[in-house]
Amino acid sequence: MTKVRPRTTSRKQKRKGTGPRRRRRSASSRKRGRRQTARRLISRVAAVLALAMLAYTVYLDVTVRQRFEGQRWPIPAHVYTRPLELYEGRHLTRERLVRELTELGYRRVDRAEHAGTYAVGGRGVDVVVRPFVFWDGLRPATSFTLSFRDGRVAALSGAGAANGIVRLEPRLFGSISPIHHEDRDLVRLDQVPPHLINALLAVEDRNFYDHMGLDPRGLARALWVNVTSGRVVQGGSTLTQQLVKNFYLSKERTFRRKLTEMVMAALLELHYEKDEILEAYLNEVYLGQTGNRAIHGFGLGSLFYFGRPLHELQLPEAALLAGMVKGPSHYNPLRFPQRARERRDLVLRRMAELGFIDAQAARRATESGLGLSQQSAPAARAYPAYADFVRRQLRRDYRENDLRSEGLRIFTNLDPDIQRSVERAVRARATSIERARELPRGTLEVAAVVTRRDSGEVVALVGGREPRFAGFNRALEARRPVGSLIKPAVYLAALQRPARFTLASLLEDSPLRVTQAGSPDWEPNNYDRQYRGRVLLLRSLADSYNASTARLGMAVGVDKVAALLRKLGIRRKFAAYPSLLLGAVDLTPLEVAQMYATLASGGFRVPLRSIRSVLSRDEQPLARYPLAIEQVIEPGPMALLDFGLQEVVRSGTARALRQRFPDDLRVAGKTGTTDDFRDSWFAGYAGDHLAVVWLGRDDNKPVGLSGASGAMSVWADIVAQLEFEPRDPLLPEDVELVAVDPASGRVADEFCESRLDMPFIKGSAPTERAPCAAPRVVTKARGKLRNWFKRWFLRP
Amino acid sequence: MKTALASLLVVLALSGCATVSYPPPETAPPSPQASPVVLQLMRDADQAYASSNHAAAALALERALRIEPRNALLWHRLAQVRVRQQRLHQAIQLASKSNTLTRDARLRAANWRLIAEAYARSGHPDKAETARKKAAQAGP
Repeated sequence: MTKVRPRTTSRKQKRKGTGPRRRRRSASSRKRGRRQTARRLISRVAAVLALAMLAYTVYLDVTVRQRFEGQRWPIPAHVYTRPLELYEGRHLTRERLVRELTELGYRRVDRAEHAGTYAVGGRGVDVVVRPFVFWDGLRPATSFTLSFRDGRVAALSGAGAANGIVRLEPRLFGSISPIHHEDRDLVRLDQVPPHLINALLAVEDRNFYDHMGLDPRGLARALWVNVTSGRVVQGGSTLTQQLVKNFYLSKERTFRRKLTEMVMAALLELHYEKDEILEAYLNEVYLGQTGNRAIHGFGLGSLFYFGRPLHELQLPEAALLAGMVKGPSHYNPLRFPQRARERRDLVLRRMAELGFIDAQAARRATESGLGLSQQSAPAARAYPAYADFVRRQLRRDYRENDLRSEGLRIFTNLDPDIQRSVERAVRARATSIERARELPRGTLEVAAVVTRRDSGEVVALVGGREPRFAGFNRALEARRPVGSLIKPAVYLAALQRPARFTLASLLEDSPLRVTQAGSPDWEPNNYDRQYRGRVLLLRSLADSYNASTARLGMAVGVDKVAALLRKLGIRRKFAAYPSLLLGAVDLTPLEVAQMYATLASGGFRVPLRSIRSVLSRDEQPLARYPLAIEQVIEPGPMALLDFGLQEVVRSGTARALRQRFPDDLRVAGKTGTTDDFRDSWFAGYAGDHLAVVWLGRDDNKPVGLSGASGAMSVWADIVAQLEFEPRDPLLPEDVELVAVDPASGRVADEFCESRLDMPFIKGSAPTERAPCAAPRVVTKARGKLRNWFKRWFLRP
Repeated sequence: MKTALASLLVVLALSGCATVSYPPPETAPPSPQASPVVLQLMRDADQAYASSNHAAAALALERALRIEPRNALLWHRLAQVRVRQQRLHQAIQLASKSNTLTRDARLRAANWRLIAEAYARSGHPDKAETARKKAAQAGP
């Protein structure tokens, strides 16, 4: 209002003014008028500017508050391995436990007293586990002691083991496509060690708790240091300004942006407590890059570089992280350890200068190593094929955006021990096979899936021979003809009709031509181009004869076999041509695993699952992926097929496995080879696990490997590493064992030179005696059978 | 009416298991090879079951099944939990699985009774009747 007054005055003067005086004054008044006009203009512009600035400030104020008060960061879903369960009697060596603890970032100490530490002593390993929220609730920090004998846990004791079972926390191994590739793990201020905050204040903003967002003293000091040293040594920005810059603004370096930054910093300080600002800073800060994933916040930074939660960091580690803020790439301790170390030591000295620590503590800290996690960097990228599988399963139930922003915690079935042994086997075998077969180097590719038989939990998955490389995931994406892997479905379809087919049925194994309307004739050949005339159904399966299998399938009906495949878990659409009977259907290794999972779990279809449970950001259970089974095959025929698949290993195409595995493990499996040796498959189960392996080339050129010469050797390497608990086979009520003469498929006795005890659905066993058998001995044979049965099926 | 009465009886029997600490009358004794840790997890499951915390009971049983995947009693217990959760189809499947893993007549009979109950509740009286007959054949 005051600014308007001069204008009124001048108007009055205009009206009152007289001749000469007016004239005399006219020049000066004109000058004055111009000045006044200019002043008026300036004041108007100033007013407009002030208004605009006010509006802009209000706008900034709203921006500052809106983002600060809402959900500040999109947090990608974090994916965890299985937790290692510890209980008396489980297979575990001390070395394996120590490795697991090391991977979880536990520190080895002389006396384990704090969470996240362990001590190895004469009587065993003492562990203090960290508190962890599992899907079934919080497990508080607790301690226990483990001792070992003969590769197993001999005793488990201590406060934490009152229930006889305790689990280590699972390990974070991936995150789901973070938005803007920013990954972080939020921490609260009370979870941040004071050392870290002191280190940060010492080097970045020592007046943080005194200034109002801007620090002229700090700026002047930085300027002075920079001028006197001739280079940029210190930045003058306060933590608040740095937060504003990273949180709200672009990376451009302009005066306007700097001004905005200052205003926003002041506004932020106006509205929020220092501690709130500091906490936001600690979570926002950029600390490095791995692949296309940016590590943000000290919480994730600590896990990434040290493999440990932030609150467990010691002084030197805290100083190292705080020092990295200035230039995370430049001071990356994984790439430039010496540089990072110098920076850390400078931080420590600055802390001592400012009295945060005493000189002795600083000296001690400078003498310690960097303490980096041995596998921090690779761990961040580990198991991309499995992570990909998890992501695909999650996409069925969650929106992509929620996965990328809601901070879900995904607990999976991945067993890193098994996963690693699969990776080793895959890599070593692929290389050695290439060399032995003189294949071009690096062309042989591999995929493998390992599941738990009865639950369908996928414990390991490899999508290529370079398992660290996140690319084409062959386990899920490579659709290849399955060849003989399909045959169990043909035989099962037959065995489900006990009135027509038994394991002792004789099949015709001779050249075959199937004429089909509208397509060329189909003439399946045997693998070795030899034909055996009449063969036992069991032998035809074990030795994987094509001609007899095709005849059997035709007799049962291609449509019946196709329907059975769907029951077993193949969801993909496929054409039910006769060639289906010999595996002319393209499936991925995972689909094959789904089909075999049904066979391996006694005829119960078990969906293959990667996920156990999902917790929300605030650790509330969101979803469970419970065990779900569906009986699709009756126990009788299933037991018969199981016997047949064991015969494949006992005497058939996979008999080489007998050298590697004891007979009582009852390994069952099937080899698969496709035309011109392009694909080499093996699917099989033993103990509690099922594994499927594929070998071949991406360009689909021949690799010259049969199922037995290629995939089976990888399979054996994988399965040899697994732990086995005894599994007593149990014959279903409607199944009996009968000794059969393999030549005739009729009842044999001790007079027969070769004799095979085979299961039959009751009432379907052959009644005619074999030519080799004497009529009166049948009862004796039964007595012997009973003994055999006792020996194999009823022993303790 | 009969079905309803039978259902009520089974429900009472099932809820009876909840109050008895171990072993519940409805089921057979644990198979001799069950390890101490599995027995403990079963007790945890029983406790959760008794306090109607079915999710926790199922979690404890699934945890035990990872240790002993072929323990028929664990599959039976999980089936019991699914009945309580009204997941009747799964209950039938789990009890059937249990039957493929045991020769124990009492456990087999308990599985068939559970299957009968689940069929009855899900509106399949014929299948329930068949299962009841199997239960009677199986044992006590």
